[in-house]
Amino acid sequence: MSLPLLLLGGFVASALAPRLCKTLPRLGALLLAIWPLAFAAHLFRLAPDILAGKPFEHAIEWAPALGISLSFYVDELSLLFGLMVSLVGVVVMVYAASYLKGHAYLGRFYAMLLMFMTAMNAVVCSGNVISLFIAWELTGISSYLLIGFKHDKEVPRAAALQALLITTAGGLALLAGLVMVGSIAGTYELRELLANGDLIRNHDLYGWILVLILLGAFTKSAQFPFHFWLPRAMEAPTPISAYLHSATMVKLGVFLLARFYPMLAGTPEWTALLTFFGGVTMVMGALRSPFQDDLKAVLAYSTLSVLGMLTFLLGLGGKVALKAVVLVTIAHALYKAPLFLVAGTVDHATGTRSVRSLSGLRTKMPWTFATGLIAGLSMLGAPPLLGFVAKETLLDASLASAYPIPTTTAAAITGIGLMAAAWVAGIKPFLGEPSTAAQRAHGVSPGFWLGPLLLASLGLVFGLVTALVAPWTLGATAAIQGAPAAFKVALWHGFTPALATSGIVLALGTGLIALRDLLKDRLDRIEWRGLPRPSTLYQQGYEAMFVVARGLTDRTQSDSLRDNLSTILFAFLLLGGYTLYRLGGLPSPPTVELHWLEVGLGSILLAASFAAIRARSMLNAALMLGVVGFAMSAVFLVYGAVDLAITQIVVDTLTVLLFVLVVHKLPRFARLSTKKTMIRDAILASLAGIFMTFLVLKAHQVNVHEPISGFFAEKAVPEAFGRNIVNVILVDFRALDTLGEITVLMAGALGVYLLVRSGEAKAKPREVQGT
Amino acid sequence: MKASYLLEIATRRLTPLLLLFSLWALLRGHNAPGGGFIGGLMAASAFGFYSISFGPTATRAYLRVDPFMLIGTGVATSLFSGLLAWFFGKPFLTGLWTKLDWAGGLKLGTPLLFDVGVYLTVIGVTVSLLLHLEED
Amino acid sequence: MEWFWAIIVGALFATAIFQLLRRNLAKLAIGLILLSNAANLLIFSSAGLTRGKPPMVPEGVETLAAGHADPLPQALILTAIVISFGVIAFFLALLRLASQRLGITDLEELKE
Repeated sequence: MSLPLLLLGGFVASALAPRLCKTLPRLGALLLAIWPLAFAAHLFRLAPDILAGKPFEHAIEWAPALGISLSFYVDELSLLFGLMVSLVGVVVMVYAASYLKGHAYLGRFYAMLLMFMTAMNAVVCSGNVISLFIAWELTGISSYLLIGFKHDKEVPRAAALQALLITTAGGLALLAGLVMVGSIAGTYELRELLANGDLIRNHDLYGWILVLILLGAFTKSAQFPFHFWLPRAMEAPTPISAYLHSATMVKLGVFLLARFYPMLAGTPEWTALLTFFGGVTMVMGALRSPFQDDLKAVLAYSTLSVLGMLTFLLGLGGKVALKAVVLVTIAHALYKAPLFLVAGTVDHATGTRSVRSLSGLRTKMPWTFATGLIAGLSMLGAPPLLGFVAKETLLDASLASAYPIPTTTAAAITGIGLMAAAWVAGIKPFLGEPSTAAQRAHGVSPGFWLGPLLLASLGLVFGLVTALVAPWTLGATAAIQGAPAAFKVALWHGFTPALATSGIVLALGTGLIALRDLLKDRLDRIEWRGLPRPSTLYQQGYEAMFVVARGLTDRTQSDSLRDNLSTILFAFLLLGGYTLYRLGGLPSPPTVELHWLEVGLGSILLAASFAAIRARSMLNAALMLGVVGFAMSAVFLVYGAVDLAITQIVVDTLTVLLFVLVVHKLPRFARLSTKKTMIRDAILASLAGIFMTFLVLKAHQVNVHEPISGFFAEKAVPEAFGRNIVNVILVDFRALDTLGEITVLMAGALGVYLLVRSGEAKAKPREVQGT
Repeated sequence: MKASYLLEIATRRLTPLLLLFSLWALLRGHNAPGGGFIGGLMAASAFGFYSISFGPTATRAYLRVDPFMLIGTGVATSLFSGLLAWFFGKPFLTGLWTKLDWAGGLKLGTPLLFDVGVYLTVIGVTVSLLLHLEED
Repeated sequence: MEWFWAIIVGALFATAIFQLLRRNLAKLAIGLILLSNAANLLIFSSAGLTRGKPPMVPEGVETLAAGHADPLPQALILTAIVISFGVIAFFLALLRLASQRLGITDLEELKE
């Protein structure tokens, strides 16, 4: 029970954040960081059991009839991601306290961040794919808010919207895929789905399911051709970028693929799609990354590359590739978050993130330099850091694949590009003679480097003492492949082909570092033209959407309610009439004799309604409507609907009251329509009336489904302890509907209140003008 | 609106009676005609007549609480009656019953609480509609 | 009996729709009320009509015998009556706003 409560606590903390940051501007952030810390602590407490192969499971039933429950499933994979999300979260929150010190919207920042963090943890701990999807969408919405944090500027807003549109479009595809999976397997519970992977893989619709789920994962994890939102999302404040792009948001797509690995993987389609798109993203990101000028852009493209790498590895499949997935994930979180934060610190101290104008910063900020150096070396893949172990495993997996030459080449190119990127982003700004920007830079407080340095050092510690990560790696690998895994995690594997390849990569990478500035000059001079870029296509599609929508609205919507109503009625009569005609068969003649009372009531009903529409004043019309209501009530009474009769009478009274209150303020009716339109309307109305008559008669004949009233009649007393079945339906059997209804009533009351208020607000200026 | 003296007297006497009657309708609703909707509408029409006789300001004073307060309390009560089931490990809105032996085997259940919520909401909504349309 | 009520339902719909097609805003309100009555009667009569047997389980019996009125449409209509009351109140508020603040009771004028 404590895990759901902890998650709930995250939302509570998020709600409290604005208040807290206002009262305690300095301490508030640190207090809020207790939440992710507590979550991580809880995961550590669960860890021994989970690593021993017993996942934590807990379910709260939500809508059992639909198979939707709020269930939690925490295995080694969830554990790994949950810890990453929470611990990197703590570092980012503490860092942001210094980075955004004194910011007007600090409280809002933490509120969004905590909401996002909670949603992330909810995704990774979810045990039901529907609740997983809901949390998934919540991460999308909160990341939209985070990316657009500088909401008073145009560019961040556009970037946030683009990220939201692309990821939620993918989210819709994902939902469709999940529903298909659920209806094939007959369950939405994750554990059961993973155990019955064969069912999905052998199904005719497997191809569709795979494509739909991949669309969700690829958009979220910014795989080619959906990659372009990620570099643009760098408009967010740097701590956000550090968080979204190192350990959380963009890793979700990869998480999803890993989560569903036992269910979807192993087919030729899986391998082909993942290795292709992952490979393209990986190589493209790695080649573009070192040649960016903005520090954050360098990191963004390298993130793309790593995301591509993870997808690529999941596509290759098998024990070694999956081991590489886990190691790359850990190593990436430990170096990418610090590197982003280092970029943020540099930006904060110097006011620029341009690689060209940054050098020689090491004397002004030695600790930040240390952080950049350690994290950069890990990203570079230098021994003895964890990044080296991860890269070795990547090369191992490529060499062992079915097509070792193309895969290893791609992996090697990526390694070379990432080396240069690591150099540019983590090390280069600190070396050499201090530039003018570096000379003007101010020193930085420990809040800026303590957290990042800690994270980066973990990369070093884990590399040196691989025994610390070995059990987690083994566990997570086993969780992904859905079977126990056995291998060694070590810094030194002996002289292997991977080591040799690694040596080549190191040499070529060093060469690229040396030539980087020269190459960049050349590349900058080339004009890129020709091929359509995905981002342009997106932009064109986005604009076309508005054009189409506007055109369609202009075509179909006239401003006249009467014209619209007539059109709807006409279409309704045409389609409905055709359906009735197709059903055929004249309704049966009357079987029950009419009673004089019924004839009387029906006649009164008719006469009063005709009188109501012929009335020359609103008061007369209201009176006649009152008669209609009372006649209705009598009809209900005759046919055994006592509750309805009472309700109708009271509502009728209230309606007449309402009319009396409002109507005396209205003018008399004026004759507005011409004779011709009156006749046309009369014909249309009569046709509709005739149609409804036949509909009622037909309804007696058609019986699509066994009526469920028998169930109500049977269970009302023994199970719901009520003798008035109508009331039992309202407050017990169908109480959810009633709950919805009173909510609607509430909205109605609020609406009237606002209408009256808006009238007052509009009236006031006039009064001022008058006086 | 100016009301007659007779109407004022009648309303003053009848309103408490109507309100009492509405409560009775609410409580017997599970076994006989009545329930939250009917009871709530009855109570609301009592307030409606009161406001015709004495005006909206007097009605607000007579009601003592803001109609929106009633709406909020009502919806929250119904929601809470449904959430109670969770604490007993049952799905949302499952009816829970208890039998009071000391009160002659009277059965009390969350559906009754739910109906009370409906009752309050309907009163609040209807009264707020009437008052807002009456006030200027 | 079915024929009779079917014709009444049809006639109610016809009057309601005719009223909805008028230009006067106040007449729209009348049309709305008639329409909700027509719809309620439509549901009520298409579910089958049973004279004078309310769906209440008598004392001392556990389940309701067959031949009683159907409780489900009754529950549906009960909520529909209350909701349509809310809708009408909302519409009247709109109507009052339009006529008092803007001086408009003609739909065609509202377009501007």
